Amino acid sequence: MFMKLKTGVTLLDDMLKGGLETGATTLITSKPFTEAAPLAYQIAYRWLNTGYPVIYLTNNKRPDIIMEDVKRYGWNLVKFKDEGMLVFVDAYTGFMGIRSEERYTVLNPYNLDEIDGTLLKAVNDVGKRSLIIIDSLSTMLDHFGEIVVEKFEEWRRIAILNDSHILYIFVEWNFEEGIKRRLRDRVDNIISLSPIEKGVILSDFFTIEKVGGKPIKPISIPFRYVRPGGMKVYIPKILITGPYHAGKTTVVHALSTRAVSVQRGETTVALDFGHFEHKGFQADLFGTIGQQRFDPILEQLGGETLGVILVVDSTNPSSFPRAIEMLHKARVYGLPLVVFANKQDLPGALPPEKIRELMKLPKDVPVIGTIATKKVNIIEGIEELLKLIFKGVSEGDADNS
Amino acid sequence: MSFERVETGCRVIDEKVGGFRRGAIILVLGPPMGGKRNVCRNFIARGLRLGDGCIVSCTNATAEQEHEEFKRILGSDADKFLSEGRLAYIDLFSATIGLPLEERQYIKRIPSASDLTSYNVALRELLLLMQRKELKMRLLFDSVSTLLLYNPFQTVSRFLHILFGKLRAMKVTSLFLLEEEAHERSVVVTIMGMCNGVLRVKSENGKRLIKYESETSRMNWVMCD
Ligand SMILES: Nc1nc2c(ncn2[C@@H]2O[C@H](COP(=O)(O)OP(=O)(O)OP(=O)(O)O)[C@@H](O)[C@H]2O)c(=O)[nH]1
Ligand SMILES: [Mg+2]
Repeated sequence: MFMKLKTGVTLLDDMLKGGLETGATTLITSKPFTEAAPLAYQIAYRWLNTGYPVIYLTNNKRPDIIMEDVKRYGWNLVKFKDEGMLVFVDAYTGFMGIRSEERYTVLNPYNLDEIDGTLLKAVNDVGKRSLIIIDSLSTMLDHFGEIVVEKFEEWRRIAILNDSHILYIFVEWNFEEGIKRRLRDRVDNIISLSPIEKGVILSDFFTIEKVGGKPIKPISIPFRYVRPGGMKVYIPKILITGPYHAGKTTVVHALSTRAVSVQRGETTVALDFGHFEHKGFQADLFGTIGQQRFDPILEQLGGETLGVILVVDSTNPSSFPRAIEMLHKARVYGLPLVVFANKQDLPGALPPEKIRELMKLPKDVPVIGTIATKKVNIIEGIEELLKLIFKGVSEGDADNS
Repeated sequence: MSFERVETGCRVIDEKVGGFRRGAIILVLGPPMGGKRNVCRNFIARGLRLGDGCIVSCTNATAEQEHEEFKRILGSDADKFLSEGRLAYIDLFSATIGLPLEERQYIKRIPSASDLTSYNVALRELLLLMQRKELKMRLLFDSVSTLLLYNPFQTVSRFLHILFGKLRAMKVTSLFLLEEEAHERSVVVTIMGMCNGVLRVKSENGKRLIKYESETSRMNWVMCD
């Protein structure tokens, strides 16, 4: 009788083996410089859109502010609230000593029993298959201490009895390890959000640590929040390289929603830069310069690259050794790689399999025939690359099916 | 050991103790109307004049109201600094009084004074922008007292612990205001213990007096301009 609902976040659903199951609980745990709330919003919006109710308990901001915050990500909740599909349990406004407009209000938010009672009432009224968001568990722990952890079993029973899902938002301020461990032990799924730091925080990644009560091999997926749009899988750097005149600039532009290149005549004299967005993925694309005299730049450019597109002119086999040399120079050999056998429209273009042979490429490197000027096979090509970059994820998905 | 020093915008501190240490976290205490906000704003204004990137976090005024204060000190340059991204605001107040959460590139608005993760995320974004421009950075947080009003002490202390770590790592010289009288002594002492220095400001007979103590320097009550 339990059902699974998708979160709507690319790759997250694969890692969760289909989504969030009713009758279960999920902990979204985030480092203090990374937000979990936008992910909760996104899941809530998806849940509501699928036709099931959401109960949102807040103890750190007003419900109307949450509605507005959600709107910044491009989702309007007003209709759902008016229809009674979305209800707030307001355990915040009471702190301010003012009256809340909400139907489910905790008059004294310093009283855990009252919070518990109000939440239960909302759950009973709203009915089954609801998503119950607790925003946030960390604030609750600060107010009430470890006793909150004891409540977990009780709340979990509520989730099972009501065929609902509970989503806890937890920020990892410096709580005791013991408390963190006990929280982790008592939930079915754990989604953790952490920053990618290099002195400064550049972006974030999510990891699923536990699914259906079982720990899984964690795979980290880089992401960022976009307004509007919400959580997108984000690849900070894909390198587009290849010999002189092969079509790199054309490929970057064909893939990008916006791009810049510095050309002198026919050739690129500074980097091509592009931004790619497609099906919940975003990536920044860096096209290199083909001419040999710029190789020192190429050597700088490889760092932090997650995947490579090597563009070659299919009519010019004499440039293939140079193509392989460029991979080595950028120190990206061994990273996920897709070869674009470009200019397939020209007479004398070698077929992709012939190019694989001439370049002695391993079997697992896709070689794709493309016509960059007509955008033929370009998107398909980068999709292949994304598959390689997130290979572990789809493997996890495979055991599921 | 020698530390890099930053000018404070207050001549006596610069002369007597050589300014603040870069990356220090300084707690600013003093009675109401004692002039501590002026000292803090001068610290930011001085930074802007020297080419630093400055972030002002306000819990008791909107970013726009706070910006008016800087215009009073800096004139029309304040607008220029804001548009260049050398001056930025994190506004924790607008939401409290029901104003929309409308954002601009260098004005971030936080859903509530209890949503401290949102604050961190806004700060992180501004620090990254400034770091990319290789700016030296300063921060003013006005004030910790508001946080203590809306959150349990535990929450505030966890937050400051994490925040101070980040600011020190990024060498952001920071002033945190606290209304001393509004809190229990133990709270004030705990927060003091987390900071690198304490600056006290008071007014007597129309004159402003300051006192500064840090790990490395000490200055007794003196008159300040
Ligand atoms: N017929 C045909 N021409 C193409 C194709 N892709 C690119 N071209 C042309 O090839 C020339 C070079 O393309 P660019 O995209 O500038 O190549 P590049 O690799 O960036 O060149 P450099 O930056 O100079 O190394 C241009 O005239 C393109 O229009 C293709 O698929 N078919
Ligand atoms: Mg080019």
